[in-house]
Amino acid sequence: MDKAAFEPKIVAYCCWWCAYGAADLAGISKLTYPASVRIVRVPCSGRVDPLHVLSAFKAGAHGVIVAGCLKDGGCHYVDGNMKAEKRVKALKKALDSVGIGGDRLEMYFLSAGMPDKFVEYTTEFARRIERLGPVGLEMNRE
Amino acid sequence: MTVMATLSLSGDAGCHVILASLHEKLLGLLEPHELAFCQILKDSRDIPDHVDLTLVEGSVRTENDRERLREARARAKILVAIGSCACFGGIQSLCNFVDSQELMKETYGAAIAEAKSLGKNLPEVLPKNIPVREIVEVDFQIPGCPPEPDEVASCLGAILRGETPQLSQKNVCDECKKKRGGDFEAKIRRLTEKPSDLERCLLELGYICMGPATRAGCHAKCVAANVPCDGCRGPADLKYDQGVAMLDALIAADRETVSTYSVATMSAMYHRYSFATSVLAKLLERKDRR
Repeated sequence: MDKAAFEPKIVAYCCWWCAYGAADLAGISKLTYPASVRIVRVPCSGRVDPLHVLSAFKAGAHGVIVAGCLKDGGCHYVDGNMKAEKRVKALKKALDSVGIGGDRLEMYFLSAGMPDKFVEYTTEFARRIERLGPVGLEMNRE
Repeated sequence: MTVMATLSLSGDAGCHVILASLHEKLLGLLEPHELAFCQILKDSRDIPDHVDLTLVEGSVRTENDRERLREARARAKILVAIGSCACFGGIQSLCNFVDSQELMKETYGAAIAEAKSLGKNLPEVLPKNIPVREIVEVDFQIPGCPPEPDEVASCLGAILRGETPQLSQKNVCDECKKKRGGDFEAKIRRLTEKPSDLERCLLELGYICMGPATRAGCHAKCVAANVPCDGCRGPADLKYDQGVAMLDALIAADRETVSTYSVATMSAMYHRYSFATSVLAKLLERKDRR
């Protein structure tokens, strides 16, 4: 496949209180982030179930971002972001064994006042996915 | 009067045995109705042209299975998938992540040429093991490996009365009598290890018990006998993916190491009966290389 023609599809699950706020503010501030990022607003990053992440990959996504509030008490629901972090950490390993690669999933912590960070993280992630290219499944068997 | 038929595809006929194990109850259920075709109970050659209710057991593995299923669907008004093979693909779908040619080589080894020549008149094996609802439309599903006789009787009774059969929407844990303490032991145990406390929840003791992700209705029999649930009844709601729900439960219980297992281990552990319908199987099929 031609590398230049590859347009990644990235699904970003953003929590309503912080990450989505940051994305919103990025828009208002006229900052640009990669068009490959599709945002899905969730009430809390702790709501993101492993099934949400895997369904995105099943549907053809090349990368998934889970973005929540800042660590150490930033979460509107006390510890939803920490639960999400735990899940993402475990899911990265599961994606490695499924052959999709844990690099295609990342968790970011933002506050609603960090549009520049949102742009920085999504740009960095989109570059990484572009570099990785399409999902080529190499099965990892025992 | 309802004309009934039962069809057996790739499987072990266990669901037919469950049907027969209803004994007199089955006679009561069938009282005004007719069982026109049932290989285990009746001596008839084929499914009649018009049937009101067909129970299908087993999954689709060969071309013959597929043809017979399509034919049965065309002849039946209501088609019910009975058992986990028909509903989710069953245990035999664990071979789905291996190429079928490779599977033949693995099974027959050096005798593969001989096996192929001997089996040249047999129906062709499909590349994958497929649950019934992926081939034809299914009206109702009665999961379980095997399904509970009482549940089969009540569901069958409901369908014969023209009602929708009701299955439990709860998890096996809701029916389980074991005591839960709230803390989890760090070590993951194998089936062969004896539980240290016979009163306590097996998941807390470190066994991979599929209770939290499995449909109730079996009265947690296996767990009561100190054998961890292996999830034979599929997810409590068909919207969910059984294995992924279990993975989530284990992550929440600080068992992150479970996510480092290989595909073979993961599928056999969390998707033992539902691999064919799982997200995991769909992810393995995904190929972007054009």
